[in-house]
Amino acid sequence: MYSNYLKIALRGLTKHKLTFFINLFGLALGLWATITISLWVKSELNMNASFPEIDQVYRIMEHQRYGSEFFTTSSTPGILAPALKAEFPEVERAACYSWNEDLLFIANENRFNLNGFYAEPDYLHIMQYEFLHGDRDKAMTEKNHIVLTKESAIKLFGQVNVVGESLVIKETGEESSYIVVAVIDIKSYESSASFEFIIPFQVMLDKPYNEWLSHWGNNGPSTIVRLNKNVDWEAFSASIEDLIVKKNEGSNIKLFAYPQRDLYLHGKFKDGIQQGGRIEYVKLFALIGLFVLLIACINFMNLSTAKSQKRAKEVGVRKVVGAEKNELVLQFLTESMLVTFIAGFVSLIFVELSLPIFNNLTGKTLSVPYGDWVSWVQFIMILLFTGLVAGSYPAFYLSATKVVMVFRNFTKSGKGVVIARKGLVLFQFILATMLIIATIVVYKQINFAMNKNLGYEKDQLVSVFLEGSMYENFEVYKRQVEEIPGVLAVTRSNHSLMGRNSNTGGISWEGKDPDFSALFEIMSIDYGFVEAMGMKMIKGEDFSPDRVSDSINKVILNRRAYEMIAQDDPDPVSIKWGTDVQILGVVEDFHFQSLHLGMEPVILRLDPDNSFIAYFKIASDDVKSVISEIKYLSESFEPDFPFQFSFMDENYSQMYQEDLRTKELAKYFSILTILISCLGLFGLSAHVAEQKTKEIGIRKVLGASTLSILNVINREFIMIVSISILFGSGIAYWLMQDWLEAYAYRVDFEWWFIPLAAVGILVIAFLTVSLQALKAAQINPVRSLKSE
Amino acid sequence: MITLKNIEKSISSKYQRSFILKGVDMEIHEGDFITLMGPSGVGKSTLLNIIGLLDQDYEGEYFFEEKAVHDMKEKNRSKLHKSEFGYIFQAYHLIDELTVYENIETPLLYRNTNSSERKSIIAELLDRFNMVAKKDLFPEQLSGGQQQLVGIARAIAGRPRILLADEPTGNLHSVQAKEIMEVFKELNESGTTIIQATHARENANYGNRLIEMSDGKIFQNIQL
Repeated sequence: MYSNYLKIALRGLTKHKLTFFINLFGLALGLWATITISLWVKSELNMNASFPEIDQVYRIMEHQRYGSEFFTTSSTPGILAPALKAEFPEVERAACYSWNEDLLFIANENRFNLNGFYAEPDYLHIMQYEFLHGDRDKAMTEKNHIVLTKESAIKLFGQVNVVGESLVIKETGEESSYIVVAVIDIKSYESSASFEFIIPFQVMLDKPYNEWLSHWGNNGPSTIVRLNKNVDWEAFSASIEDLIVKKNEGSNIKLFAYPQRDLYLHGKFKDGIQQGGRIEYVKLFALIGLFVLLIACINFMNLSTAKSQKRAKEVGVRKVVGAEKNELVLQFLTESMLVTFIAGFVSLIFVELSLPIFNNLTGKTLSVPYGDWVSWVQFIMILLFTGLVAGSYPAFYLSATKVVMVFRNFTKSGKGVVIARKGLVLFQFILATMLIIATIVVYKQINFAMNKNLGYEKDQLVSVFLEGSMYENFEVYKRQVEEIPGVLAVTRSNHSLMGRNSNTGGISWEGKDPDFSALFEIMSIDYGFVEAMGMKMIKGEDFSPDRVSDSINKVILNRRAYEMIAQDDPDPVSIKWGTDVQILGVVEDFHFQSLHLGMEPVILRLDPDNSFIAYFKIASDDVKSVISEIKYLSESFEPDFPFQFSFMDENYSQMYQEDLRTKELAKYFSILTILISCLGLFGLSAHVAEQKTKEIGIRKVLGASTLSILNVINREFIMIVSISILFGSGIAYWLMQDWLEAYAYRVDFEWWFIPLAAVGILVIAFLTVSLQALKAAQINPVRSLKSE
Repeated sequence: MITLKNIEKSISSKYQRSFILKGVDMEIHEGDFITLMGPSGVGKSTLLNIIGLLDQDYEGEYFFEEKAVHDMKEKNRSKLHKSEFGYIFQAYHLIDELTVYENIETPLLYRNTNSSERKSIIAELLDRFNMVAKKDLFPEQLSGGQQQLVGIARAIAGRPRILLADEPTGNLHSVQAKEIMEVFKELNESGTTIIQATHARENANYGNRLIEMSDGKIFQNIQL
C-alpha cells in the first residue's frame, strides 16, 4: 500500500518537474532560513548558561544616580570582591576582574600580542572553564602565575601542556616573568567572553598608576560572585544595596546582584530597571524564522493545489474503488513529506554553503551539529511539522470532498480558501515592502553616519598605540615621524574618540544649580591636538608650548560644555574642578562616541604624559607608502614592540558594527522574502490561470487579444500587491521611525523611499504573474474548451 | 437484493427547489442486468450514485439485503461499498500516474488483499481481457476501448456482486462498444448483478430489464 503512495508521489514529481522544482526550492529556502536562524537562536539562548553551577553566579552591578536619572553599569571598585566575601556569609566565592588588554608576550623566541585580562583567583572557581592541565585550586595564587588558553599555549609554545613553562610580558618601562600554571579550554562552554590569558588581579592593583583602583569612589573592574546553594539572591541583592554608600559617604551608587547567565540577553537597563536587551533580537529572529517557514509551507500548498483539478479526479476515483478518507490523507501527506525531506537535505547543503557568510555577518562560529542526535531529532521534527503543514490542504481538504462533486466538474475552491490564498500573498508582500523600505532606511542612515562631519577629520588619520621608547621619548620620535614626507601633523591624546573613556561629575561653576549634575568627558591632549585633528576653535585659543603656564589649571571646553555653563554664568572665564580652572578656549563640538548618542560636554586638558595614543595626519596621495615608512621608523625606534596602528575611519565604522550587521541582514532578508513571495505569487497565479482556463478559452474564441487576457489575470494581483505596499509602507514608516529614534543624529524618513520600493515590487510582481498569464493566454482555446 | 422506497433527491437553488429524483421505487434482484435509459439530466447517474453508496444526500429508504442503508453509519456504508460494488465510468477515470497493472491493483490495496493473491487476481484479469502485453503501459498509451477494459478489470478486481456502469460505452465507437457489452454479458452470466445507465438502446438488449426514466421518475419498467 505504502509503496503505492510513494510510487504515485515519485511519478507525480517527475511528471510535473517545474512544480516539483519550485516546491522543492521554496521549501528548501524556507528551511534554510529556519535552520540557520535556529542555530543562531540556540547559540544565543545557550550563551554563558551551560557553565557548572551557573545558577549561583551573579554579577555585582551599579545603579548610579544623576539628578533624577539612573545610569546602570557593571563597573565596580577594584576592592569590592574581598569586601563582599568578608562581610556577606552567603558569598561563597568572589572575584574582581579587569577589562581586556593587549599585552606583548615573549616565550622562547616567540613574540605575540595576546588579548586577555586580570582576575582574582576565585574567578576560575566561579566561571568554571575546563582545565586541560593544571590545578584549579592552585592556579593564580601567586603573583607570577598565568593561565593560558589552549589556543594561546599552542601559539606561544607549540603545544598544549605547557604547565611549568615560563614566559615574559613586556610593557612600557617594565618586564615581568610568569609561570604557566594552567591551560584551560575556553570553548568548553558556550561563552560570550573572549580572551587568551588570565593574570592575577593583584599584579594590576600593585602597579603605581593603578592606585585609583583601590578607592571606593572609583569604578572600573567587574565583580562576579558565586553564592552558596539555596541563597535567595534577591534578598542578597537588596542587602548589598548600600555597601558603597557605607564605604564612601555621599556616593550616588546603589549596588545590586544580577544573574550572570541572564546578563548577556537581558543586560539592558533603563532608569534602573531591566528592560529588553539582546533577547529582543533573539525573539524577533525566531519569529522571522517561523514566518519564513510558514510562508514557504503555504506556498507549497498553493502550488500543489494549483493542480487540484487533476488531483480531485484522482481522489474521486480512489474513493470509488474503495479508498477511505484516512488512507487518502496518508497518501497526500506522504507526497508532501517526500518533498519536504528532499528539501530538508537540500537546505542542509544551503546551510553548509552559507554558514561561513552568516558567521562573518553575525560574528559567531556556528556549525551544523552533525554528531548531536538531539539536533537531528529537532531537525526531523521541523521537517515533519513542515510536511504536515504543507500537505494539510490537499490531504484534509481534497480527501474530504464528495465523490459526486468531483465528477461533476468540481474545483471551485471554497470562498474561505480563496481569501486565505489572497491573504497569504497580501501578507508576503507586506513583509517584502517592509523589508525593502527598512533596507533603504538603514542604508541611508549608515551612509549618513559614515559621511557625517564629525567635528574632526577622520580621513587619512592614523592612530598608533605608543609603547616603550616611542612613549618615553615621544618628542624625539615625533620629530623623526614629522620628517617623513607626507606626514602632515603628529599629536597625541589618551582618548580614542570612539566612545567614553574617563569622565567626571565633579565640575561646578558660578551660579550652578547644586541639584544639577552632568558627566563631563575628560581628554588629555598634547600640543597641536586641535589643529592636527582638524577641529575648530570658536573662542579663545589652543594650548601653546610658548606659554609654560598652560599646563597648570587651564582647560579647553567643547561648545556643549561652554553653553551648559553659560546658561548660569553668561560669560564664563573659569570652572571649579577641585580648584579654580581657567577656560583657555572653546572648541567646536565633535563626536567622540557613536551617533546613537547626543553631544556631551568635554574638557580638554594639557597632559602629554597621560597621552599614549599618537595621531598622524597623512597627505592623501600615497597613504600606503607613508604608513610603511612610519612602520619602518617605529620598529627601528622601538624594536621590542610590534607596531600597531589603525585608521580612524575604520575605527569609526567599527562603532557601527551592529548597525552594519543589521544592514546586511536586512538586505539578505529582503532578497529572501522577495524570492519566497514571488514563488507564492507564481503558485497563486498558476492556480488562477488554471481556474480561468475556460474563461480565457471563451474570451479567445470571442476574439480577445493576448494582451487583454494578460490583463484579466494581472489586474487581480496588481491590486493585491498594491494593497500590500500600502500596508507595508505604513508599518515600515512606523517601525523605521522607531529605529531611527535610537540615533541622536539621523536622516529623515523621506517620502520617496516608498515609491522607490513600490515600483521595484510592482515590477517584480508583474513579471512573475505575466509568466503564468502568458502561458495561459497562449493555450489553444480548442484544447482548453474541449476538456470541459 | 436491493430495495429502494420512495427515493427523492432535490437541489435547492436561490429561489426554488428542483427535484432530480422524485418518488423512485425499485427492486433489484441478484443476477439482474438492468439498463437505465432516458434523456440527459433525467437522473440516471444520480440514481446510480445513490445505489452505489456514493451519494448519501437523499430522502427515502434504501435496503441492501434487509439492511437499512439510509440509517447506516459512514464506516459501515463504506465497508459495504468496498465489498459489494464495482464502478465503471464513461470517461474511464483511470489514474494517469499508474500503469495498467497498478490501476487494476488499486482496489485490492484498499481491501488489504495480500501480495500473492493480488498477483494471481491481476494475472487472471489481464489474461481474461487479453492485456498481458500491455500491463506496464500507462493509460494514455491505450485506446479508449482498451482503457475501458482496464476500467472494467479494475471494477471487478475486488470481486463485487454488483457492477454499476455509467454510460460505459459513451466514449467508444460501435465495435469497441460491442466488445464491452459482451464482457458485461459474460460477467452477468457468471452471477454479477449489473446496472448500467446508457443512451444506446441496443445496449439494453444485453440485459434482462429496461427501466425508462423521465423527469426523475421511473416511467416504464420492462422485462426483456
